[in-house]
Amino acid sequence: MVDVYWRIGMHGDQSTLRRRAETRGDWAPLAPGHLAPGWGDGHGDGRPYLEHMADVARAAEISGFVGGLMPSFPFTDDPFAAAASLVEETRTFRFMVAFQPGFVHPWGAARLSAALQQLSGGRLVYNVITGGGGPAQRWWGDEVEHDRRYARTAEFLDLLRRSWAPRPQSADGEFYRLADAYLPTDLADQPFPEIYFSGSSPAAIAAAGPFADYYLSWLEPHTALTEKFTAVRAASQALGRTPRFAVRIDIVSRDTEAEAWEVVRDGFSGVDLTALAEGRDGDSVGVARARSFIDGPVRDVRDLEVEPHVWGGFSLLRGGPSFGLVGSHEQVAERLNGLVDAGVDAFILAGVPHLEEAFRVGDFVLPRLTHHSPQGALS
Amino acid sequence: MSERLVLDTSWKRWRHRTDLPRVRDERPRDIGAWELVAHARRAAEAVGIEEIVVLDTADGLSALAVVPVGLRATQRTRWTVELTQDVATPVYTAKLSASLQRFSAGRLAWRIDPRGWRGRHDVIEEFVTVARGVWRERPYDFSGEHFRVQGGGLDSPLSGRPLPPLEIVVRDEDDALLASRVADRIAVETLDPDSWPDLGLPLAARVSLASAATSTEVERLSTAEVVGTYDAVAGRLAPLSERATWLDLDVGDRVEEIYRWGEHVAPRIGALIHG
Repeated sequence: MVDVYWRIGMHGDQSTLRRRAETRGDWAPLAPGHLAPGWGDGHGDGRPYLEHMADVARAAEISGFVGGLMPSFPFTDDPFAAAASLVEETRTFRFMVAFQPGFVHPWGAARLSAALQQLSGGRLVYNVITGGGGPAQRWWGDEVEHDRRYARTAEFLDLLRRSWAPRPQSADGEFYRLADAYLPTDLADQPFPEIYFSGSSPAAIAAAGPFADYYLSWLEPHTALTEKFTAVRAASQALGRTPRFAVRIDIVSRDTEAEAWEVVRDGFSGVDLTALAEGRDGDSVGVARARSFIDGPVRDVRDLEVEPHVWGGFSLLRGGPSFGLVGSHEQVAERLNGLVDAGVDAFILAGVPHLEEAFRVGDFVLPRLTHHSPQGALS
Repeated sequence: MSERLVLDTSWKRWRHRTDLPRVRDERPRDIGAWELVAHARRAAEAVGIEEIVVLDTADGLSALAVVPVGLRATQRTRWTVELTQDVATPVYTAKLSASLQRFSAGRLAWRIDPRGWRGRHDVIEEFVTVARGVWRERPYDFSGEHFRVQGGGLDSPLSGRPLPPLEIVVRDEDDALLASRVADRIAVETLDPDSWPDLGLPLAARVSLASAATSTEVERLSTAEVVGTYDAVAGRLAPLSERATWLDLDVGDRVEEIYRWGEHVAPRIGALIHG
């Protein structure tokens, strides 16, 4: 079975991929027609954006998604705060909380997480990220350089696991110190959250080895993705572990392929292509890799289609990673089935607007994920 | 003077299901602390207690887990979260708090007990400086002994919300000095006004209520320092209103004490204060 997560927008949402204009949440001025927060009697009605997050989570839950990724950036709402707020309004939805180990203490994270595990019946999942470097990293108060951040992440996860126990643990690490850290028995008994580990560099892959339940990658062209998985597999097998793989994918799926491309083409016609060169101020290897897959001049929307239905221009139409799938429901499902056949165990899917697209993907794509995908789906 | 409810979730009641040998028992295996939190919250609402202070104790639930859940479950109750040292950086604390202020229409407050920071007043002061700095300024730069930020500061729409008021628990002169530098209000743990620091800040005085539910003397209500009939307890506590803004009620795991307080003691205190 494959775990399929949706994504919860932590900094608003657009009402369409055709225009890069946020209408949901208070990241853009509230105006007539903006739904979340609501606009009543010509004024904002005071509903917090959290209400919309709740609606997206419920839409994903009833549409067949096992849970949702809650990303974390300087400009987003905080995923731990949002997850804790929404636990009691969902029944099966798993909250995949993104966080950077540099900003929380392993024991503090253990205590917070175990309490949420107890409240939610084990529905907390970690998306451990290590940061993209540059000004955003210093914004957080973090000056540790790229490879040492991954060493810190590894130490954090080690100490987090050790403090998830009823007997006091102490440790003096390079980055953290544990002094008699423990959990009360009823909390130590809670299941340790599954870890989705992000990072594309050799340092990331080395750090992920002992800890990652799922190695999470953005969607990349097939060869690049399988090469990355091979490297992770080798690093993990040296440690006696068998990693599972997850891929984060944006989707434009419609009844016909032509309709799907029309949505993307519409959005593409209004973008500034210099944005393709943006985001160079960090040290993220994932961002650099994504940029490297696009060859030659980009004039037409299909110039960014690096493989059938794999389109690298999503970052032009909304914030987030570059690659996603465009096609009919059958074509999108076929690509996803192909990825499963290539060894992918979980997906984090997304579409704009997240609420409506959760229903659409749940209705038309998820039912088409089957055990029998056509041969050569990835070729 | 009004009451606040203090939740120290390191309670034992219900945390491990007691066997009921002759009774069909379909309670979930780990029924416990969260059920008590919900009971306490509902009891507070029922008796008109408008603020709940959640302590962050190693034997209890993380206060940073309890408070978001509580804010979401209530519409008007204000929630104070105790911040301890081994949890999060000041920037992360500020950002998480900004979201909670957004979600709750500004009902969050912060509490720091120097005991939860190994007595490191210097770390607390820097932590508070940075958390407030990124909340108020953008860009915000800070280079201190313990924390550094470059080009920081919350941006819209996370910015612009009221800062959570900060209370410092004061037990000695060092705590009082720290409070005089950073606190918006202070919390004390004695009921002797002569021992309270005079900092010109709103003050909360903690009173521990712990009458045994099994006692046959259900008309009696005991506290750590006050034992007696409802009238006697009210008579002992009412004069505190001359200097205390809040009475912090700590009922341990006896949530039913909250109802007893609301029905029997609070009206008597009100009558004594207001005639």
